[in-house]
Order: sequence, then structure tokens, then C-alpha cells
Amino acid sequence: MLVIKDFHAGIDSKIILRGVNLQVNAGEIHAIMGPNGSGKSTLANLLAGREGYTITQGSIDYLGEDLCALLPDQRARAGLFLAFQYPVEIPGVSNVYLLKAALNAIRKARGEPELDAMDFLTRVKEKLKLVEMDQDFLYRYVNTGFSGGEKKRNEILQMALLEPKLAILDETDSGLDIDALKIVANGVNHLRAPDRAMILITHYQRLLDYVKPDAVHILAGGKIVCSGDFGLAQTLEKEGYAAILQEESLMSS
Amino acid sequence: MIHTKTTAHANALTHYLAEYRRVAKDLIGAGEKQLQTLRQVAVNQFSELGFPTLKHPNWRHTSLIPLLQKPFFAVSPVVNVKLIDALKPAIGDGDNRLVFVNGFFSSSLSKIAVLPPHATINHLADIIEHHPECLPTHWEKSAFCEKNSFTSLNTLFMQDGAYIYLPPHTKLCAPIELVFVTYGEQNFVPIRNIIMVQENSQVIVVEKYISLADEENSYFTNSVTECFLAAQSGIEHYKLLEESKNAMHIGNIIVQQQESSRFSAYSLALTGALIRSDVRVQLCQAHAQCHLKSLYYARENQHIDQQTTVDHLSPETQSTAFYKGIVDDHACGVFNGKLIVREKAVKSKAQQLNKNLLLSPSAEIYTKPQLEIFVDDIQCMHGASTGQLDETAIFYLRARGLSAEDARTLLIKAFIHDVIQQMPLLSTYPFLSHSVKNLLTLDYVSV
Repeated sequence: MLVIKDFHAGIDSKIILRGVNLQVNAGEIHAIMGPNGSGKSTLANLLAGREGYTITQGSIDYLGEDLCALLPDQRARAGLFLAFQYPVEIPGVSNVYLLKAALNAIRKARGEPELDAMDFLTRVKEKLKLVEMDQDFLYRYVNTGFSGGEKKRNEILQMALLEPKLAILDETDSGLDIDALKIVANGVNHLRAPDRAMILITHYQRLLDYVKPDAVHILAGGKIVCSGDFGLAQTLEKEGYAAILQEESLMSS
Repeated sequence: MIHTKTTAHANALTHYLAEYRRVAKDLIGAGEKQLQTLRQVAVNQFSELGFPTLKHPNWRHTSLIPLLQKPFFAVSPVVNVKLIDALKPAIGDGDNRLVFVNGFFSSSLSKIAVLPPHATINHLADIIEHHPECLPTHWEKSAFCEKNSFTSLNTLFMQDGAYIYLPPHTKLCAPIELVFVTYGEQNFVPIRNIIMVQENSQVIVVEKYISLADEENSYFTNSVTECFLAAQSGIEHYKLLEESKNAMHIGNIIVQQQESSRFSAYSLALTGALIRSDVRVQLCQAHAQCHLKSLYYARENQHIDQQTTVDHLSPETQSTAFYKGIVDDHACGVFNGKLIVREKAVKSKAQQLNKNLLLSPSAEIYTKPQLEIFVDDIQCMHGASTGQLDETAIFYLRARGLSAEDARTLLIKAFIHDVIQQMPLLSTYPFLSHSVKNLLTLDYVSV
């Protein structure tokens, strides 16, 4: 589904990604871990099409298309979803308005008819249950005055409603208490499907205790330095990044 | 540069004085002695003041050159039946409406429902001609003697406008619509409105300035609306500006408030090449309060200047001003708000807030909230901000599938949302044009 080849990118004159290689197939969940500043969020933003980065080398193929040639909204309509590390507050726009506008934009791109108000609400209410959110959430302004946990659950709500093909969750678990983490994990597991892939960007093994990944990658210094299964996350949690990175550098030298 | 301005200002002064001499004998109330006296005062004042230049503290950022370099001419009433028929759809079918075409009352387009006893909704020309006794007491102390170039100009050429009078203890629930339709190249249209509400009475008035569809003529509307609020009375005043794209609109709203009265002004300034809108409120007696809300949206080469002066003269008076502006393309926006709290106005509360959104690198905004305070025991707050659309928010919306254009539009609507929410009629008012509705409404999903 997603093939990243020798991908180099940066911002201004600073190089952040220095040759990322990654393949994610349909039905798989991949976790990307790594120390602060290793380029995890840059990778997530680049996948979603955020402007301001310079791509110097490499390619990203998404469902047979050159992802870098698509605008952010074209990517969203092609089934790519980024759950933001810091969801944006938009006072003046109600949550329900955004959800409806987003869903209809994506449905339209898929050649499906726009949903009428009744069908839409039925569907949203179903998804609200999944993330244990009250209906009041729909009528509050997007993320405005939401707690950290509420913002993250709202991202999962959007993801559940939009049913993406490839979802990238950028530190959705950061700053969550254990109950909220379980709700988020439950949402992610619920969306697990043979035709859907997910990339979880995280600092901690904690989320992976609830969502079992098919692969774990460590991103450091702008490269994936180490890949493995769930065991790698466990080792990391015990020994820290330093040990693993040292081992890697010894092996490569 | 300075030389050109002086010449343009002087030429325009000469032009309007000549124009006055040309039409004076045909103006309404030409035989009315009192009105003639007031006009004489206005001639002297206008000749003395002339048109303000950029040196005037309230005109620092608004050049009148576009208005002054072109002569505008006083017009005669329109008797074009075809045209009047064509106007009908744009005017709507409210129960109480007075329609003015190029400043003259059109009885065939207007409609007044049955009114409570002693209440009057009429056009000013008819009052001056047939019921001059309804006017005088206010005239000497009101706007007629105000030292303002455009008010004096308006008094000179005064022809028609709305006259609304409510006797004590009268509440009119249905809004009174005043529709001013103007068109024609180089037409000068002075409009004078008088709204008087007696004790414990209430009224909602909507002033709507429009042109004919697709009209691009350059005309000059000069409006003055005077509001007199007796004790415990209330006026909700709406002003919607959708003039032709080349029109000049200089409008003054002048308000005098007695004890515990409540005045609310809601304004939407949308189209017109040069728009200047002043609201001047005197809170004359204790517990009077006024609330001013406005949205201005300047595009292309528009210049929109919004000015407020709220004068707290008595104890425990209250005022709020909330002005929001959007400036795009090469347009320019100006907000100049002045709050004055006098010695006697103890325990008064005053608030003033101006927020602006700039949508283009060549758009300009000048904002100046001012306080003049002469007493200690009060609460005052003022502030201004200017910003741009949040790029992160645009990316967030695009990452949810909205096109760049939809994302921008949505964020602009979100910016407007709070001030519109505070204008009660706008959510229900059925006579807004499609373009205004499109601008203001977010199509919320109803349950």
C-alpha cells in the first residue's frame, strides 16, 4: 500500500530525513518509535502533504500513485488520514460541521452520494459510542476548550467516520491517562481491517500493549535504523534508545 | 500632492455650494421658516468646515479624493414604473417597510401595517410638509448643529428619509425596514432619518442600502440617522451596506439616550468603493446603555472606515463596542473607536474590542481604540488585534479532505461567526441577499 524509498527531506536548509525506507502492506499495523527529534513527526507531516518541507531525494508510492504529487486534500480524499499530534482548535466551526464537510468531500471523491442529515447523524452517533464521546461534542467548536484526551479522542472519531485506507497516528497516545489510552486503543483496534493499514508513531510501548503491531521500526537520525516485531518495542522499553542505537552503530561499523 | 488635495477640497466645496443654490428652491421645506434657518446655519458651517483632509484626526487614514474629484449632482424623483417593478423582488415583503429610490420615497414599493395609536411611520418629506409640528423640539439640540462636514452637507440637501415616532409604552415587535435603493452615475443622494422613541417604547429598525443588480455606477450616498431614546426605551438598529461596487457612502448615526434606555447598533459593511460609517452616542442620563457590533469586509480596492464615539456623560452608564473586520486584496480597513468617560459618569462600564483578519499581503488595516477618561471609579477595557488565517488550521482542514479554498472560506466564516451570532435578526431575517446569506451562514446539521 505504501512504499517509501530512500526518502530525504528537510525544512529550510536543515535535513531531517536522511534516507527512509519503509513498506506497509494492507491490513498491517506498523509502529514507528524513536527518540525526540528523530524525524517521526516530519515523516507524518510529509505523508499528509504539509507544505514547507523540501524533498531532496527518494519517492513515496501510495496505492500505485506518486504521493508527493498530491495536495493534502487530494491525499485525504484518496483515503490517507493523519491523526494530528496537536489537533487544531477552530473556534466558530462546530465539530459536526467539520465532520459532515470532511465526510462528504471524501464520499464525493469516491463517487458516492453525499449523505443527508439523518443518515449522517445516525452514522456519527454510532462512531461517538466507539470513542465514548457524548453527543454534546458534536455541537462544540472543533477542539476548542477540549482537554488533551478529548482532542485525541476527537481525532479517532474523525478517523472512524472517514474510514481511511491508510491512517497515520502521530503520538495519539501522548499525554493520555490510562482510561483515555484504552479508548483510543479500542478505536484503533476496531478499525483494524484487511484492507486498511495503520502507522502508529509513538514514544512508548504502552499503546502497543493494547494495539499489537505487525512491525516495529526505530527511526533515529532521519533513518529507520532497526526493524523488528513487537519484541523490539519491549526491548526498547527495558533498555532505552541509547543501548539499541549503540548496538546498531557498532553493527554498521 | 498637498496642492492637489487642497484644490480638490476647495473645488468640491464650491461645487456643492453651487449645487445647493441650484436646487435650493425645490428642496423640501423650502418655505418652512425654521428649516430655512437651520439650512442657513448648515451653509455657514459647511463653508467654514469644508471637507476634512488627512490632517483631521478622524480622517487620518481615509482620503476623500475619490469622492471629491468627481462632481455628484442632486437628483429629482424617479417615476420609472418599469424600474420600480424590477425592484420588487429585491425589496421583499415585510409588513413595515419604507422604500426610497435615489433618496425619494416610493409609495408603491412601501407598505405600513396597522400601527398602534399615535405611532407614526412615515417619510420625512411628508412630515415636513404636512406635520411640521412633529419635528421641531429636537432640531436645535440635535445633529443639525453638529460640527461635522457631512452632517451639514446632509442638512443642506435634506430631501427625504424615514420618520419613526413611537409614543410612550409602545412596543413594535416586527422590524421596520428602510430600503434605500440608489443607482445612476454621479447621483448625489442625501438621506435623513429620524427615529424617536418615547418612554418605555421599543422598536427595531433595519436600514438597508442597496443598488440595482449588477449596477456599477458611482453615486454618493450621504446618510444621517438621528435616534432619540427617552427613558427606559429601546432601539435596535441594523445597517446593511450593499451599495454598488463603485459607490461612495458616508453615513452618520447620531444617538442621544436618556435614563435606562438601551440602544443596539448592528452593522454590516460589505460593498461600496468608499464606505465611511460613524456612530456617535451620547449616554446623557444614568443607566443608559449602548451596544455596537459591526462586521466590515473589504475586498478588491474597497476602503471601509468605521468610527465610533461613545460619550459617557452620566453615572452607571454602560457601553460595548465589538467590531470585526476582514480585509482582502488591495483593500483598506480603518477602525477608530473613541470612548469618553466624563467626570459625572462614575461607576460606568465601557468595553471596546476590534479584531481584524488580513487575507492578502497588500491589504491594509489601521486600528485605533482610544480611551479618554476623566473619572476614577469606572471599569474600562479596550483592545485591538490583527491577524491572518492560521496556516496550521488550513492544513488540518485540508488533511480532512476540504479543498484549500473551502478551508479558507470555512475559516473566514468561523472568524465572522461570533459577531454575527450577536446580531439577533441576522439568523432569522429573511430579506438578506443571497450573497450575504452565503457569507454569514454555516450550514449546520440540524438534529
